[in-house]
Amino acid sequence: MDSSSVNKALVIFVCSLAVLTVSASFYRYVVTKDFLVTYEIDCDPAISICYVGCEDDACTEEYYYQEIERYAPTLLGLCGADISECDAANTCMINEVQCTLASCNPIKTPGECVGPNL
Amino acid sequence: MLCYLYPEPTYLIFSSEVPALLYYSHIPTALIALLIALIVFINAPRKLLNRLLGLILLSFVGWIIVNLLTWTIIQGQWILFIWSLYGLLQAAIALISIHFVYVFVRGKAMPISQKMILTGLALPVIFFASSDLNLTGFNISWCDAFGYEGQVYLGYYTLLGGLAFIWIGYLLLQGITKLPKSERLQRIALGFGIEAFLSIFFGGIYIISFLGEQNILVNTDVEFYTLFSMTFFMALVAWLIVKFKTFNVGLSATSALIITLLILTSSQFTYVESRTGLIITTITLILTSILSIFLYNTVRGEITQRKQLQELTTELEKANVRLKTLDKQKSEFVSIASHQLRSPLTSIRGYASMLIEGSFGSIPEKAKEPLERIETSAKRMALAVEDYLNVSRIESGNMKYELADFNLKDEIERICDDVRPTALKAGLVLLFRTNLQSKGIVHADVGKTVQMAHNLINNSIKYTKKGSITVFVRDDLSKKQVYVDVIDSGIGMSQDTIDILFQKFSRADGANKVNTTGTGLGLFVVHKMAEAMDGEITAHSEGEGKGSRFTLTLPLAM
Repeated sequence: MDSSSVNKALVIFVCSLAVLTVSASFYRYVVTKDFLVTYEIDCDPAISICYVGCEDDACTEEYYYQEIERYAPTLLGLCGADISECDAANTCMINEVQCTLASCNPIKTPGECVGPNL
Repeated sequence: MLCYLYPEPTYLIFSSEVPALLYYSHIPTALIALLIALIVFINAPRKLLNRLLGLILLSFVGWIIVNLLTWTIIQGQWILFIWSLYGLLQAAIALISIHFVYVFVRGKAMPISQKMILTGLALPVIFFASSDLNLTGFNISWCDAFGYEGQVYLGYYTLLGGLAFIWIGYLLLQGITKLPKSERLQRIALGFGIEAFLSIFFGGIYIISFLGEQNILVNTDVEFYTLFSMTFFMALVAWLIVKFKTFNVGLSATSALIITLLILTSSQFTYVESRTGLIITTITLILTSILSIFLYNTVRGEITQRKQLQELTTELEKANVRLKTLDKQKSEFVSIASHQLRSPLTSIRGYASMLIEGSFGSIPEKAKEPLERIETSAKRMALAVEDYLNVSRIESGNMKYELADFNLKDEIERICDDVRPTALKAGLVLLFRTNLQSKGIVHADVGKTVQMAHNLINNSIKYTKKGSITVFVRDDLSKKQVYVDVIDSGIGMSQDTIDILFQKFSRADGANKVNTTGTGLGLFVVHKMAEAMDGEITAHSEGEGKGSRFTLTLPLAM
């Protein structure tokens, strides 16, 4: 096999793999939506321990939130693509496997949390 | 999976929520890269170097498009799909850059073994692009995937950038000091451009991504500034194109490049928001225009000169062929004419000599002097004809040399004895001296050596009015050579005369005042004969009127 043939074989091999991997990515993320999503939900510091966020760069106004991480297809099934008006997005369902509600941890991030006893 | 906190973009990439710097850093940079890629590819599409540069730039433009889209679109699944391509594109930029610089430095394609290594390095990036090692999730609130990037995968393809930086540095530095100035300058410019681009682009993106993932850096739009490293690289590539015609880009492409640079500079007016910015952009445009005119004129001038030089070279080549033909014809003519002259001259000399000697009876005293003049003139003419014949033989390659070992000292001593009466007749002392560590045996043609020595000694006699001529035979065992110095106290020579002394028909200044019979061929013949026998002839003089020294060098017999 001469060097020209080896060259061609290498180029075809790499290009084919690249096309396959791009297709696989497309299938995973766009078609099956096989990924996790994280988003913030409203939090009342009088009841729960919440993260403190800023509404603007100068942080003139604060807001309080918790984070939910869940499997994207579950959320899509509950709320569709837009979760802004979906109450089901604000909590994990009973027996929902990949769903975590994360509150602020005052030990890990002291000063970033606000809550009833803080 | 909509990022509900962000507005839907117009035409995919235009959004009011993203900083204006995004467009300023991405669009002109992508256009410049695309333009350069187009220019180098169109001008020499079959040239590997141009193809590779085109591929690097296309990968980079692909990266810019991906980055632009991840900033503007709000559909999570699409952002993740596009985000997963960063690794592939950055790995392509790094690995193709290595091959590109290899071809630039070595002037040939990379060997298969090294291509295999590059392919092997790319495989993990390709295999794991769609896996959890690359991306696992998406933050709807922030509309990004910084928190879900696999650090091993990200680190690996960033390391490829680091590897490219080191490999390219090694290639560029190899033998750089031995290069001619122009090539060294090209290599430095290209190397500086690509190394700056790789280090800022890969290093900057990794650091920003890492800090973003750690929530240390909230404002990740500082990564826009890393793209200007490509503009810097492209500026150096454009300079190489204009200054050195690297990538075989001609005048039309240079014009296109300049026009587009002007358009891109003008496009900055779109983003100007303050009066100061307006003034700076105007000044930049004016300076760019002046520089562009200068560059265009320089390139046009150089291309015109190159064309003229090519035409002249073609004409000179034709003239040279014609001259060689004429020279050959001349040599043939001289050879034929000389042969035709030699026979009658021999008869004239012979009969004149016989008449003087009385072979045909006694002749009147009055007739003796004219007969002696006839004989002398015929002798001179015969010598001149012999010179012409020698030149003719040398130039036609017909001069035969019969190399053998013989004692040079004995031959030179014999010649001195033969010539001494002539020297005495001219009122000169001819001395013979030796300083030999060996026996003075040389490997040369005896006849030609005698002819050369005769020529040198007779020359000294001709051009010396008073004083002495010393013939000195010496040797140098370390150099394995024997030297014959012919030193006279004659008319001497200037350095200018020495420089042309061994050329055909060349005679010393003032030589005609002393001797009118020389042909100007003797020393040329000696020079050619010495060369043919692995020897040489050199001349030295302190100046006019200060005598001369001719040194004949011949190889010592082994």
